[in-house]
Amino acid sequence: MSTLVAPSRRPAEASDARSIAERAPKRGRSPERIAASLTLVAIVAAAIVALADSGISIPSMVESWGNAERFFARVGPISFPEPAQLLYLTALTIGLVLCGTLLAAVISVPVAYLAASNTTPGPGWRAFGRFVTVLTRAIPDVVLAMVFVLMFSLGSLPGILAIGIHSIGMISKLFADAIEQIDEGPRLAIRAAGGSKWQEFTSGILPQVLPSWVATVLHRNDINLRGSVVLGYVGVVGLGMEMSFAFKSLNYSLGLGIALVMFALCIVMEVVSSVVRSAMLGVAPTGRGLGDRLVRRVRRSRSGSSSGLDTPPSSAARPAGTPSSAARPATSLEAALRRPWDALRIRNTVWGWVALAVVVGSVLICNIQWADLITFWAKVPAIAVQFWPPDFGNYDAATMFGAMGQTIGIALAATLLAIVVSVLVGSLAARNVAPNGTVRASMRFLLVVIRGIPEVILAIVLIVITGLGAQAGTLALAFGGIGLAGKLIADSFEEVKSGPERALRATGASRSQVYASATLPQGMRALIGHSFYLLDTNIRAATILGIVGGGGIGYYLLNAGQGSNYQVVTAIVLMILVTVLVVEGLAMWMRRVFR
Amino acid sequence: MNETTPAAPDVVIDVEGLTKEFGSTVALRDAALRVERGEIVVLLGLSGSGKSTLLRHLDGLDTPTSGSVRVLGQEVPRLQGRRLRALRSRIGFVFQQFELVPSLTVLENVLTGALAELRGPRLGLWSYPKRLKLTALGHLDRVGLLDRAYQRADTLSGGQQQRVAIARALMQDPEILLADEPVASLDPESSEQVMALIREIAMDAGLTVVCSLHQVDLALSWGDRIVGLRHGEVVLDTPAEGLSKAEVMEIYGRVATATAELEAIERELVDELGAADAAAPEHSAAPEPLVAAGPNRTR
Amino acid sequence: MKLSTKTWPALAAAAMLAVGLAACASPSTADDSAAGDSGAKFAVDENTLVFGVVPDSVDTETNYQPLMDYIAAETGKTVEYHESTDYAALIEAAVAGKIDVASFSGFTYVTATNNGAAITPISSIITEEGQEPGYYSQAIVPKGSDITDLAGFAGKKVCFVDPSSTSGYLFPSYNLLNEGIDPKTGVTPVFAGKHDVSVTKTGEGVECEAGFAEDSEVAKSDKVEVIAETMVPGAPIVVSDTLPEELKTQLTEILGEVTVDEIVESGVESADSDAFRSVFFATLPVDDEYYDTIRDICEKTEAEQCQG
Repeated sequence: MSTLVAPSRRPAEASDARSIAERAPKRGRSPERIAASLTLVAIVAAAIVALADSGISIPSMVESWGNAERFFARVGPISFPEPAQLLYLTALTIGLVLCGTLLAAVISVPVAYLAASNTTPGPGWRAFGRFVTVLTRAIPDVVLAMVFVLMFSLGSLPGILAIGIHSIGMISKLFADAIEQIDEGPRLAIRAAGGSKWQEFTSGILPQVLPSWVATVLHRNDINLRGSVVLGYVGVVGLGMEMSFAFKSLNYSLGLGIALVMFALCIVMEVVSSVVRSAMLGVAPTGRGLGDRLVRRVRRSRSGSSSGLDTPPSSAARPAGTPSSAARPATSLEAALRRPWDALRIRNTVWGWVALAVVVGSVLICNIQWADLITFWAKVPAIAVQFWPPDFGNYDAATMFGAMGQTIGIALAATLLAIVVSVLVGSLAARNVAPNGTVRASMRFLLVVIRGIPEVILAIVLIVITGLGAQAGTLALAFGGIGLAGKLIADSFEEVKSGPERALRATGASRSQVYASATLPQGMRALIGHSFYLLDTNIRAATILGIVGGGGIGYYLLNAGQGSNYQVVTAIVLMILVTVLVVEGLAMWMRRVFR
Repeated sequence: MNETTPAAPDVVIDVEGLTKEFGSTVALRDAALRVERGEIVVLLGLSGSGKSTLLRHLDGLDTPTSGSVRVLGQEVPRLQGRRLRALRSRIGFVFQQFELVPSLTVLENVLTGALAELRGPRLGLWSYPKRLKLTALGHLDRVGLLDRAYQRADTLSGGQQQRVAIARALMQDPEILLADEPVASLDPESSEQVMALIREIAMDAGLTVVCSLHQVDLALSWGDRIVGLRHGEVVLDTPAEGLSKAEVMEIYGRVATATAELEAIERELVDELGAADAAAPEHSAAPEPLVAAGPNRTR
Repeated sequence: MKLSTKTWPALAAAAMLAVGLAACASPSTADDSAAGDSGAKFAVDENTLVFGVVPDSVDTETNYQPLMDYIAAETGKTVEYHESTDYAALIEAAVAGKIDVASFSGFTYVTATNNGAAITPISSIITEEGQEPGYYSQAIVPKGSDITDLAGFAGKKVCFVDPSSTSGYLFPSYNLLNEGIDPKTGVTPVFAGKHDVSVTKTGEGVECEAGFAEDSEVAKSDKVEVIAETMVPGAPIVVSDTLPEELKTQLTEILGEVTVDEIVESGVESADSDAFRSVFFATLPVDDEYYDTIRDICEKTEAEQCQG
C-alpha cells in the first residue's frame, strides 16, 4: 500500500470540529444510483396504488368468515385413496418429478456455461444463454404440458418434458451464478499448465460449482414436486392429477388427503435433500431446513457416541497412509494406487449406487414411451402451425393489454404485501435474527405449511370470504408469496457474514440495532433480488388468478389453452415474455447498482 | 463513561479458573488473567490455543463452562440484556477480519460504534445525530482516513479497513480495548502501521489493551507484558522487557528458526476449535518441557 | 393406515393455519357469521351486481362485457364481472352467496344446488338463430373403424375428457351404462384432459380406439366419425334467490328472452360487434326441470360431484 498514514501524525484531538467537517469529502452519489433509487420508489408507489385499488377490506372479510367455517364443515373428515393406488401414484409422481428435474439439470449445464460471464465464448452466446434462461421460465409449465400432450402419448412423457423444460429457467440461472462466483485461480492454473477449455471446465470449474449445483437441483426438485399439482389440471398423470380430479368433483376430503400426502412427501424430500447434500458435499449442513436440522442432530448423536473427537474423515484417513508412503520404496506406490476403503469412501459409494438406483427406478416407473421421441417430430409441423401466427382471437388488443396491466397491478400489490410480511417472518426465521430457537422453528414451520397448502383450497377459502375478483387474487398471490420469499429471505439473512453482527454486538448494540446496521445492509441486495423474483413469479402465476376470477392475462391464457386457441396462447405467452424480460432487466440493473 | 471500578480500583480485568468446553473440545482450561488499568498485554499463542476464546469471554460474547470473569468490576457471565450491553459499550473490540459491514460507507461503519448510546435501530447516515457524525469524522481523521468517509467499506484495503474498525471502537470511547489478532490478515507494512496506531491511541487515552498475537517478534516488540497460552492453558505470564525470542520459543518447544514453521502450522489449523484436536499429534510429538516451565500452572 | 404417522404433523399444521387465519381475520370476532338470513341480501351491496362466469362450451371465447353493460343499463346498478376457470370455485362462491348472477354449465348448476346454493335458472344462451340451448356430447371412432355403435365400445380403450366433464365423461358414462357397459371396468378409460386432445387421440387410433367429446371440437377433425350423440342441456344464467323479489323479476324479464338485436336497440352499442355476436345470439327461458336429465344421470352414474 502506497499511501501512508502517518500514525505518527498526531492531530490535536481537540482540533476544532469545523475544520474536520470542512476537510471531509463531500458525499458523492452517482446519477445512476439516483436513477435506480427513483425507479425503485416509483415501483413501490405503483404497488401501493395497486394495493389500494385491489379493494381489500378486512371488515367485510371478517363478516364473511362464517362462510369459510361452513365450507370447512362441508369438507368433512380427510380421506385417502386406497393404499395400493396411493403408493403407485406417489412413486409415479416422484419418478416423474425426478426425471424432469434431471433432464433440466443436464440441459442447464451448457446453457449456464454460455450464460456465465466468465465462461461464455462471446457476448452473442451470452445473450443467447440468458435468453434461453428467461424464455424457459416465462412459458408456464401448464402451456408446455398442453403442447406436449398433443405431441406425445398421454402419460408421463409430456409431464417430464414440461417440468424439465420449465425448470431450465431457474436451474440454468443459478448454475450460471455459481460459475460466476468461482475462484478463478484453479482455472488459471490449468490453463497455465496447457489444459484445454474442456479440461478447464471439468477440472477447474466443475469441482468448485458442484456443491452449489447439487443444492440447486435438489431445491428445484422440491419445487417441482409441489408444482406437479398444477400439471394435474392438464392431464399429466400423478398425484397432482388425482388431486385435481378430486377438487373438480368437489370431493374436498379426498383432495385434501392427497394434498397432505404431497405435503408429507415434500417434507421427506427436504430431509432426503439434506442428507444427500451433506453426504455429497462432505460438510455439515449449514442448517436451514427441517432436514438439515435432522441431519445435524443425527451427526451430533453419532459423534457423541463414537470416539468423541469431531475429526473430519479426511484427516482420520491420513495418518494411516502418509507415513508409509513417505517411508517406503517405490514398490509400495503400486499398493498406494488402491484407495483404501475407509468409511468415507464406502459411504460415498453406497450413496452413489442408491442415487443411481433411484434414478433408474424413476425412469422405469414412468414407463416412458421412448418411441415417441422419434415419432413426435412428424407431428411438430402440424402443431407448430396451430401456434403461429400469434393472434388475439375474438378479443381486441385493448382487452388483452388491459388484462396484462391488471396482471401487473395485482402482481405488484401482492408482491408488496408478501414482501412486507416475508421480511418480518423471514427475519424471525433466520437463526442470526430470531430471539430464540422456538421462534425460529415455528416461523420455519409456518413457512413450510404455507407452501404446503393447495392453491385450489386457498382460492376457495378466499373466494367464500372475499368474493370473486382481484381482492381474492391479490391475497392468494400474497399468501403464496410469503411461503417462497419468506424462505429465501431467511436463507439469505442466515448467509450474511456473521462477523459484522458480532462486531456490533461487541460494541453493546441491541438486537434490533444489530439487525438494522449489520444484517439488513448485508442482506439488502438479496432482498431486492428476491422481491423482483417474486414479482416475476407473480406475473407468471396464471393458474390461481384464473381460479379466483381475479382477472388478468392468466385467465385468458388458461381459457385459450382449454379451448385450444393456440394462436391466442402464443400471443399471450409473448406478452408475458416481454414483461418478464423487462422485470429481469430491472432486477439485473438494481442488483448491479445496489451492490 | 464513568471511571469507577468499585471492587479493585486498579484491576480492570480479573479472570480466575476459567474453563470453556465446546462439546468434547476444551478451549480454555483453568485460565487466569489479571490486568491493571493502562496495561498493554499481549496474549501469545498458536491458533486454537484459546486466545480468541479468552478475549470473547472478556466481552461476554462467550459464556464460560466454569470460572469467574470480572471486567470493570462486574462479573461478566452474570450480566444480561441492557447491563451486558452497557458493559460492552465500555470495551472496544478489534477483530482479525475487521468485520465491517461491506455495503455501508466507511462513516456509517464508524457510527455503528455509537449505537449503544442511541436508542432503537438505525439505518442510513441520516438516522444519526450530527454531533456523532462530527465525532466519527474526527476519529476517521485520527486514523488517517478522513478522505475515505463516503466510500463503501469494501473498497478499502485490508489495512485501511482495520483502521476504520479501530475508529469504530474509538466511537465507543472505551476504557478497555480488546484486539483479536488484529494484523493476522495484513501484509507486514500495514501490520506495523496498525499496531503502531493501536499503541499510540492506547497511550494517548490511557486505554487498557489486551491484544492476541501469534508472531513472537511482534509481541515482544509491541507489548508491555506477554501472556502465553497453549492448548487452552496459560503457560507463560511475564513482562515483555528482557524476554528474548529464544526463551519464548523454548517455551513453545521449538527452536528460534521455527517461526516459519509456526506460521505454516498456523495456516493448516484454520479452524479454531477443530485445531485444538487436530494439533494433538503435534502435541505428543513435541517434548514436554513447557508445561513445567509455566510460571504458575503445573498440572 | 400407515400414513397416519407421517401426516399428523401436516394435519396439525392445517389446523394451525385455520386457527391462524381465523385469528388474524377476526380481530373483533364475528358472531354474526350467519348474518343476512333475514330479508334480501346482495353479494357486495345493493348498488352492485356480481356476475360470475365459467366458460362452458370449449370453443367459447367468453366476452360477455356487452351483456354486462346491458344489465347495468337496465337495472341501474354497477355490474362486477368475474370470469373463473374453475367450476368448484364458482360453485363455492354461489354456495357462500358471493354471486348475484352467474353463468355456468348445467352440471355445475345441479351440483351447486345440491350443495346448498340458493339460485334459480332463468335462461340459457344460444349462439345462432333457431338453435335450441345446449350442445352435443358425441361418441366418436377413427374413420374406417369397425366399431359402429356404443355397444362396440366394450373392452376398448376409450378416451374421455376428464372425470368432471359433462359432455366428456358424465353423459358418455350414462350412455355406456345404458348399453350395459361399466365406464370404469367395461372399457379401458383414458383421460385426455381436454376435448381436442380426446378427438386427436381417438383420430390417431393408437392410444384410444374410441372416444367422447363435445360436438364443436369433433367438427374440427376429419379423422373421426360420429356414431352417437346426446344433447347436453345448455348452460343456464342463474340469479341468486336472496336478491329482492322485484329485482329478480326484473332480471328474469330482461334476461329471460332477449336477442342480440334487442340489446343493441336498448342502447348498448358495444353489443353490436362480431366478437359478441359470435358468442351470443339470444337467450331462451329454461327452468329447474330442464336439468332433470342431469339429475337422472347423477343417480345412474353415481357421480361423486352430484352428492350434496
